[in-house]
Amino acid sequence: MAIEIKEIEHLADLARLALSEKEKEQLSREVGQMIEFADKLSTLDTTDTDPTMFAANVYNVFREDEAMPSLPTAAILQNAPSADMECFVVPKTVE
Amino acid sequence: MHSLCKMTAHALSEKLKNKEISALELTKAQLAIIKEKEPEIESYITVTEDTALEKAAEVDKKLAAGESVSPLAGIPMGIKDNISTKGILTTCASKMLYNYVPPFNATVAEKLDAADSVMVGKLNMDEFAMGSSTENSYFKKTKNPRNTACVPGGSSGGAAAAVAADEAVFTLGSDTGGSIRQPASLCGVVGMKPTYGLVSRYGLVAFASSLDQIGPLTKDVTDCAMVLQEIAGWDKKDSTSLPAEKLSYISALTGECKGMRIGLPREYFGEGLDPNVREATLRAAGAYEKMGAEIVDCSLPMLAYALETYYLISSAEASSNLARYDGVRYGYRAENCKDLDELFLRTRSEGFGTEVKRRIMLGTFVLSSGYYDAYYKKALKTRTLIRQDFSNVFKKCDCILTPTSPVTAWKFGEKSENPLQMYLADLYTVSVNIAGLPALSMPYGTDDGGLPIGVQLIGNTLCENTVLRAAYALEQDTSTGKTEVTAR
Repeated sequence: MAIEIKEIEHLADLARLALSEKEKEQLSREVGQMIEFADKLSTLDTTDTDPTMFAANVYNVFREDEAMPSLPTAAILQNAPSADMECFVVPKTVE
Repeated sequence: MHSLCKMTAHALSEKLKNKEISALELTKAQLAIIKEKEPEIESYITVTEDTALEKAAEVDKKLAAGESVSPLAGIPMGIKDNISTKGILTTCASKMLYNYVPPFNATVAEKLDAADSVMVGKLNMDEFAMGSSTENSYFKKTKNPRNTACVPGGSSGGAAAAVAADEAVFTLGSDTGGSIRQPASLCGVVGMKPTYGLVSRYGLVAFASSLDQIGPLTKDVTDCAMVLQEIAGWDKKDSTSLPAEKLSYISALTGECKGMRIGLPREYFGEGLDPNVREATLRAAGAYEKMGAEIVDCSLPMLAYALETYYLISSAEASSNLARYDGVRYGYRAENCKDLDELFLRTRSEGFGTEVKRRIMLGTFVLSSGYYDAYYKKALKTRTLIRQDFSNVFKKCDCILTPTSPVTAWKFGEKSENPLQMYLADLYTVSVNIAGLPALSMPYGTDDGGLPIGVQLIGNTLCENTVLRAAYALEQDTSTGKTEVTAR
């Protein structure tokens, strides 16, 4: 089962990926194969089964609301592809 | 000097304590081996020679002053390149993070540093830990030290190969669906994935947050217990870490397993299992019986749905986790983009490799409107059934014995053209992550071609001690004549 190219383009848009025509074809085949493979799960009866998000039984973890130092701005900006003063620089977003 | 680095951490620890060797001597010897072997094995992405030598000198001062130190003090080790290390390149083996230098340490890196172990470098892996052969690294292809024509397994391939090639005494890896245990098996070393939440994930670059767990790769079971001792424990920086009582893992290593009930699940001996691996696993079961353990025939029928469940859940979580790579704050950024949309699109398309894109696409598909219930939610419900399967077995068994990988190490390129074929390599390991259980892989003999075989011991939640006790007993046992694994 291949996934339609149109669907692949929609998913790529959601995932912010620009795909070449070759990649689209390949992914339509491969993602399709994986979905076909996963279709096996539909044979299982899970009507009365609750979903499990996490294996650990830990819920609603709170901590004391204490002020603590955060990382220095300069240390964070060291990894920025482009920075100016105390800001990340990106292409112009408003005309 | 080379023979030093063949030794285990616990043996070296004694030598350091008795002042037979210094930490600086040991670290220099380790760095010399890395220099000699790296051109061939390629386990490391970054070697941290200068900071390692500094740290070793510091440890020697403490030892000379008679300060009490951790058993890991002065021991050279390596860390997988998806675990953040302050001031040291952490790439996840991706072009996306080719230049990323974390401004903070992962909790495990912090703990090993506080234990005075000496980090000698950061280890190669599949890009963002997605893969089973380490062939998906953007930087290099790590070789299996037991046979360099073969892959080391993955995704912690560098971490397993480094231990097998004596390029580190021990290493830390991460395991989302078998990424510690499978390469440990293929390279003939010990590797353990602890219970989900036992070890803090703070600073581990997220792949699939409900499945990821950090653990040790070591030369023997004693070292595994020693490293686990240092890295385990609740962490306020990881809200999914467990507030569990801290156990002594070393005390579990009694050498006996009399009366232990060890389950042998029939589904793990089905189609696709290499006859050599089957034979070794059954031989291990025989050894347990001779030692007075009881072998219990059991069933984990949900194994048939484990891989499907795993790939749906892990890809969904990955597609969400990897949304953060946008070229704005760190890592790779595409050049000459005219607007923000183009910046996101081109950065992500140029920065991610093929396997990562494939998983993001699959994950986006199963989370997208119209498919969410049929795939993602269905997988979460199946996850419940897989957990129930294990709970049922643990009512009558203390731990479970299985093969770690259905096959031994394969040749480069053999499975990389077919993603589904590659995914099958994780058949026996993924269920453990889905259920959040602890499991260990240890070498148990070799196949006809001399490649290592690994057996897996799975325990109930937080029963690391049961797993370690069973593993240590099998390691000490010599009755079945298991062959030593050596580099060829």
